Amino acid sequence: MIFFEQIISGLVTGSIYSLLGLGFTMIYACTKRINFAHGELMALGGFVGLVFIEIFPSCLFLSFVLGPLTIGLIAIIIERLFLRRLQEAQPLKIVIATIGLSVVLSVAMQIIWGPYPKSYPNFISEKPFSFIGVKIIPQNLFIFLISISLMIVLQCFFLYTKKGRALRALSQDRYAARLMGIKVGQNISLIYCISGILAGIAGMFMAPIYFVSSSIGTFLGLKAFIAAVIGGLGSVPGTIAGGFFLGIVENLSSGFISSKYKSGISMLFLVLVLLFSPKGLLSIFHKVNLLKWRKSKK
Amino acid sequence: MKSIKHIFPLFILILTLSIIGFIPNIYYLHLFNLILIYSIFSLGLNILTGYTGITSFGHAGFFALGAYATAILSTRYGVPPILSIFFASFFTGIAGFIIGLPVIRISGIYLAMVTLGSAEFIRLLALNWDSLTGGPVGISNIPALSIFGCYFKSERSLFFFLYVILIISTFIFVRITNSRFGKSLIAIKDDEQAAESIGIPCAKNKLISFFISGLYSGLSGALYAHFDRFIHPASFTFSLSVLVLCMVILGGMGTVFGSILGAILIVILLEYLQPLGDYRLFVYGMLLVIMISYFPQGLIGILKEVSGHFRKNKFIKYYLRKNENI
Amino acid sequence: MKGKVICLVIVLTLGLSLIILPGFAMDKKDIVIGVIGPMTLSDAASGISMRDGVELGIDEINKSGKLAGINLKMVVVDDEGNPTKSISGNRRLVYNEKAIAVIGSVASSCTLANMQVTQEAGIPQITPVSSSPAVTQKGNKWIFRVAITDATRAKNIVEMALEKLGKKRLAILYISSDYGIDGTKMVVDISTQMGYPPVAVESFNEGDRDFSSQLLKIKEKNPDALILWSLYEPAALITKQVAQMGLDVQILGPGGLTNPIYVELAGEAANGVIVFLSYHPSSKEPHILSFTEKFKEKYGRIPDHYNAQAYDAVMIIGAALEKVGVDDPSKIRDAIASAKNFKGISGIISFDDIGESTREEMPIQIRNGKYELF
Repeated sequence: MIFFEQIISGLVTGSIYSLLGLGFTMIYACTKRINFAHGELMALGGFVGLVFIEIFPSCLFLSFVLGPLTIGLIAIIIERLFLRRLQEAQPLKIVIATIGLSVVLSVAMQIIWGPYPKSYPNFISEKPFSFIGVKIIPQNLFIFLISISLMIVLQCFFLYTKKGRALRALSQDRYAARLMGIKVGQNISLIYCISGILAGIAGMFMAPIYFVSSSIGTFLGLKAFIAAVIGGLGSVPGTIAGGFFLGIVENLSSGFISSKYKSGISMLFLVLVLLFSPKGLLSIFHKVNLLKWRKSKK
Repeated sequence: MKSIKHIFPLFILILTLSIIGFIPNIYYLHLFNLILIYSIFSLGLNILTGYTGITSFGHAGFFALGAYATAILSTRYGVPPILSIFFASFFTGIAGFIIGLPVIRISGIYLAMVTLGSAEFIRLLALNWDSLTGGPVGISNIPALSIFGCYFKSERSLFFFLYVILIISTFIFVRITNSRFGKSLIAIKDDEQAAESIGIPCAKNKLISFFISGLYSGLSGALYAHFDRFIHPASFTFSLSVLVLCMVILGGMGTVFGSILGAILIVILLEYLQPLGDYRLFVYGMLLVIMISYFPQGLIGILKEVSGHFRKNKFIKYYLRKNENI
Repeated sequence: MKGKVICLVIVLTLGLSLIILPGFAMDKKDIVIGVIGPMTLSDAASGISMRDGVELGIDEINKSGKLAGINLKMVVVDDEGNPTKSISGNRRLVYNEKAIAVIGSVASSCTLANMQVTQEAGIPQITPVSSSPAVTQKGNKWIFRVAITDATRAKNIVEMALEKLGKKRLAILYISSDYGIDGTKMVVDISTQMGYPPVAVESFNEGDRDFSSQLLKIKEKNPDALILWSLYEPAALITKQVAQMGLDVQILGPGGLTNPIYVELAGEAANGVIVFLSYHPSSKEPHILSFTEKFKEKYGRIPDHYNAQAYDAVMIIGAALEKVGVDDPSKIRDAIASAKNFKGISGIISFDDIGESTREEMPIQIRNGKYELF
C-alpha cells in the first residue's frame, strides 16, 4: 500500500518537475544552450503573477495570462541585450552569462519583494479528496493536467504549424535554415519568449505549493535541469517523462532507502543517466524519430 | 632555455608584487592570501577548461577533497601539515583521474553535468558521513602550516609562504603547458578528431589533464584548510565552482596569467562591492554578464588590446624603433 | 622588449596603487560594533532580525548619552550563511573596521568558524541566535551567547510533549544540517531516557520542497506528536502538507517555527503548533513593554525574539562599555562576563563560566495566526 502511495505522490511531484523543465528544454532544443537563469525566471513568474493577482483580485484568469506574458517579454529583453552576442560563441560563455543573470534576477527579486517567502492564494481548493484510497489534492491534479496539455499543445505546434517547423529547422542546422529564408534572430527571440511564457506559467502554478521566494530559483532550475536531462535534453515528451521519472525515483528512494540521501540519489541517478544514456532515458524507448521532433546532433 | 629578454620583466613583476606582503592592514593581507590560494585553484581549472576545453562545473568538489583530506590527516592522524597537503593534492589528482574516466564515453555539456553531479555528491558525502568528516559540524582546529617547526601563523608570514608556492606552481604550470603535452591539449580543444588523426592519444591526455587539474585544485583546497583552519561542507557548494569558473573565464581562458588575474579580479571586485550592501551581488552579476557578453576574451584580452593600441601609438613606435636592437 | 617593460611598469603601478592603497586605510573615528550574519540568501530573515535589534539598541544607547562623547556605530557584514565568508567577514570587522565587539552570527556553523577570528584578535563576541551547544564548548573565552541552546529547547519540547500533553508516540522530521542533526540527536536522547523513544525519525535536505515521501513513512507509524526541527520555510511547507495529508498530530518545534513568517506561510495549518520563546510581545513588564513599543514605532511591526535577544546583546555590551570604557577589549570582555542578573528583554541574563546564559522559556501556542501564551 505504501509503495503505491509513494508512486502516486511521486507522479504528483513529477508533474511539477515536468512543468518546470519544459521551457528549459525548449531553449536547449533550439539553441543548444543551457539557460541557467530559467529557474529565476520561474520564481519571477511567481512574483509577477502575485502582483497581477493583487491588481485584479476578482479575475484570476487575467493574471494567468498577463503574468507569463510579462516574463516572456523579459526573456526577450534579456536575449536581445546579452545573449544575442554569444549565440556563436562557446556554450560555456552563455552558461556563465546566464549564471550571472540568475544572480542578478535573484538579487533584484530580493530587493523588490524582500527576502521573505510569500504564500499564494489558492485558486483551486486545497481540500483533498480520496481516490482509490489515496488522498489527492485538486491543486496537484490540476497541475498534472496542465503539464500534459501543454506538452500536447507544444508538440502539435512543433509538428504541424509552419512556425513550428521553422523552429525545428533552426535547431537542426542554423545556416541551412537561414538559406531557406528563416530569420534566425527573430526566431531565436521567439523561442526565448515562448520559454519565458512557459517559465511564467510554471512559476504561477508551483507557487501555491512551494511558496515563492527570491531564493527558490536555484531549486526550481536544478529540478528542471535534471528532469530534462534524464528524459532527454531537447525533447519535449522526454522532459515530461523525465519529470515524472524524477519524482517517482525521489519518492521511492526516500521511502525505501533513506530520506537523508534523497537529493544525493537523484544526483547519482543523473550522473548514471549521463554516463550510460546521455540522450536521456526516452531515447532508449523511442528509436523512431516520430516522437523526438528534434534530431540530435553532437 | 628562455633568454634573459623574457625573464627580466617577469623578475620585476615578481619582485614588485612581493611588496604586497608588507602592507599594514591585516584584513587586506588576508584577502591577498585568499587570492593566492584561488590563483592555484584557478590554474587547476584552467588546464582542464581553458587548455583542454573540458568544461567543469564541479571543481568545488576537488577543492573540498583536498581540504578534507588534509584536514582529516592532520587533525585525526597527526600528520604534519606539509606532508598532509602533499598527500591531499595527490589524492585529489587521483580523484580527478577517476571522475575523468567517463570522458572517454561522453563529452561536452553532458560531461560538464557529470562534474556538477560529482561535486554535489562529494558535498553531500561530506555533510552526511559524520564519522569521517565531522558532518555538519565541520572540522575545526586544523593545525597551521609549518616547516621544520617554524609556524606560519600570522597572515604576513603565510603570505610569503603562499607566494612562493604560487610561483613554483605557476612555473611548473608554464612548463607543462609549453611542453608537447600542453600543446596537444590545445590541439584537443580545437579539434579533437584532427588531433586524433595526427597521433595524439586524446583519451589518455584528457585523463592526464584531469589528474593535473585535480592535483592543483586539491593543493589549493588543502592550503585553504590550513589557512582558515576550519572547514565545513557549506563552503564547497556550486557557487564556489561558479566562482572559480568566472576567474578562469574573466581572467582569460587558456592563458597562465589569466587565471591569476581572474582570481585577483574576482576577489577584489567582491571586496570593493561590499559597501553596497544588498546591491553588491546585483552589481557583481551584472558585471559578469556584461564582461562575458562584451569582453569574451577576459581580462587578458582587454590587456592585450590595450597594449596593442598602446604599441600602435606613434610616439611609442618611434621610441621603439630607435631602440630596436635591444 | 623595453616597450614591454614600460607597459608592465605602468600597468603595475596603476594596478598596485588601486589594490594596495586601501591597505593603508586610517582608523575610523566612531566606535564600531560589528554585526555579522546572513543578510541575503536563505536565512536572511534571521540575520535581518538580528540587525534590527542591534540597530535599535545602538540608537538608544547613543540617544541616552550614557557613553559620554562616544558615538556607537553599527557595521553590518553579510556572511550569506557561508562559514568561509563568515571568517573573512569577521576579519573585516575586526581588522578593517576596528570593531570593539562583534554580534553574530546566526548559523552555528558560521559562528563556530568566525569565533576563531575574534578569539585570535581578543575581541568579545556575542551570538544572539546560534543554538548549537558546541559554540561555548570550544574553550573560547571571548564568545558569549544570549540565545537559548538547543539542549534546553529539546528538553522543553520533549517534556511538554511527553509529560504535559501526554503524547507517547513521537515522530521527528528534521533538516539535514548541523542545526537539525544535532537538535534531533538531543531530542532522541532525552525522549529515550524518559522511556519513550521516537517511533519515526525522518530527514530532508536544505532546499527540499516536497516531503510527501517522508510524511507517508511517518504516517505509517501512527504518531501523535510531530517535532519539526527545521528552518521556517520548510517547516511551513511541511505543516501545510501535514494538514493536507490529514495527519492528526500535535506539532512542536524549536527556533525555526518561532518566526512570524512561518505562521503567515502555513496559514490555517499552523494553528495549534506549540513552540518556546524567551520573549513574548504580550508581556506587560515595563521594560519589555517599552521595548515592544519602541520597536513597533521604529520598524512598523511586532518584534520577534531574535530582535529581543540581539537588543539584549547590545545592551549588555553598552553596560560593559559604560563600566570600563572603550579602550581595552579584554576589560570589556571581563565586564561582559561578569554580567549578573541583567534585566534583559529575553529574560534575566547571567553568563556562566563558559559564556552561556541559560534561562527559562515560555510555552507558546499558535492560535488564530498569533503566538499566544499556552
